[in-house]
Amino acid sequence: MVLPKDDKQQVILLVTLLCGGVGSLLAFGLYRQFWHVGTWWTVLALVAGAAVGTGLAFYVLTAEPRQTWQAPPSRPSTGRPAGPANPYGVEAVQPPRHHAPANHPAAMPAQQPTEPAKIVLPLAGADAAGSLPRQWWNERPPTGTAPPTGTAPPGARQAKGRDLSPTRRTPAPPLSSYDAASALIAQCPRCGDFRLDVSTVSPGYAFRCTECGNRWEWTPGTPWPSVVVRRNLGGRSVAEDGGTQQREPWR
Amino acid sequence: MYQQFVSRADPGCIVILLDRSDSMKLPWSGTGATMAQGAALVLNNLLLDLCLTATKEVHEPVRHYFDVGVFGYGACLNTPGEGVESAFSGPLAGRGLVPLPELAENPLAVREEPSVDVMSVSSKIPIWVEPVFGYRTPMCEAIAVAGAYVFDWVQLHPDSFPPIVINITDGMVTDSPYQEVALPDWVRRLTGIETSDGPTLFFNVFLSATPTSEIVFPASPVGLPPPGPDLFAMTSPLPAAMAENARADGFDVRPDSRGLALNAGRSTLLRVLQIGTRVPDVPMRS
Repeated sequence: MVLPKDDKQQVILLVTLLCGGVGSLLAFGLYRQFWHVGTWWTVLALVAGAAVGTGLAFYVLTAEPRQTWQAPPSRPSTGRPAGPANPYGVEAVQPPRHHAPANHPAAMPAQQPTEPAKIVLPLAGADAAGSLPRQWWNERPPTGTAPPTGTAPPGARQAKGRDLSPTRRTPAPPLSSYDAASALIAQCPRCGDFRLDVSTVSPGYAFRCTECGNRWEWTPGTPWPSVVVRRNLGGRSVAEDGGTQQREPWR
Repeated sequence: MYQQFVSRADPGCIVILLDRSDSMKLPWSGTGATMAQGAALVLNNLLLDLCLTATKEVHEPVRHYFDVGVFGYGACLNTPGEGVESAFSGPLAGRGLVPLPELAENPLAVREEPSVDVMSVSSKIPIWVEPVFGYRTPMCEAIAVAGAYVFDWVQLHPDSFPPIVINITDGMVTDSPYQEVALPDWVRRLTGIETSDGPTLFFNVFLSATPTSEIVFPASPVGLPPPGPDLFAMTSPLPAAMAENARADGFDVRPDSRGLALNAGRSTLLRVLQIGTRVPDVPMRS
């Protein structure tokens, strides 16, 4: 049973007073048994003993538990699941130890892990917030850049467009009829990959993702299926593991 | 591909990803030092080599042939805790990519250090990188952070030799998937950054605390001890010019060899780094 904080304190107070009263009566009995003193002294000893006992009991019951050090949890900002979902996170979290000069920051006591492990990005190339790196892989080069080539991985952007495939050497088609406003970069709605096989089926097109094997059709003028990028990019096919597992790099 | 010469007009880019996890505290077999100390020693030697190679005339400053970055992942110094940060110390602390002349002028210190090859011999060398270890191995995050610098660098040098990224590690990645993306895909993102001369090169050097036979520049993942096959899949093939350099250095390099070294010792690490950072072997142009 979990009581609200105010109710809990009232219960503690009542129990404390009850224990204090029982203890006072017991003390009074013992006192009368062994000493014969005046009534006022007896009352004074009774009240003083009850007050001290009540105070001590109340302190013991309401004092905060002592702080204990716990291992820092997994870094929350990464979104990485802990435990079995991350079987490679088995290296124990240890305080950093450095071999550095005594006047070097590494030798300062601030190195101790007084707070959970965190992402630290004090670099100019990272975002100013310091929480996550800049998403450079989603950035487009400023000028003179070709669109992502067929061999580009999902999310990757080529800084300097250069298709290394043999088709690169064929002359580029004239672009006079190219309508950028109606162009659509085909992307697999299942895994987000751009490597697709396409064929014409009336009245639209049939696609097959060479990465995950997903097949779908699309007719011009209709919305492109919403892309839900799943994990397992580059790992086992989604068909094999249902999109829930991921090949880990190594053990 | 990978034909571009390095010059001051078209400098190169070298990025080292240095594992600074807790396991780097283990002694490196046969060296009497930890892997963190050994890797830092080798890196400082490599940086010195780059400076010397880029010095063409006596009493002249080092030429700007490279922009160099060293990113440590694991324990951080600038902001204590686990993460990724520039591994440079001293005046360059916190800097990402540093032009070679600036690097040469701003070492942290000049110290007497043991030779990489012979422990009994020591010499004074400049120090840019300190040995550090602690925490886990956020390798994906290291690629994400370094990738931002590589991306920006390629914007400025679209016709240069592609960036060379060398990952030095001794163990298991602990942050995969990072932002829901697994390590191999982070590598694909990184190697998807290209100049007109080709994609970014990603090489791997795996260190082992236990004495094991070294495997350098393998041409096939078959028969490689763990984590060799997975590292092999993520590693770029050696460009022809580097393969030629490796052959000249005595390595058995085949056409499909990749820039991977497993269970590398200290001297092997230095040789691999030197080969991996040596671009087309022609006299550097002005």
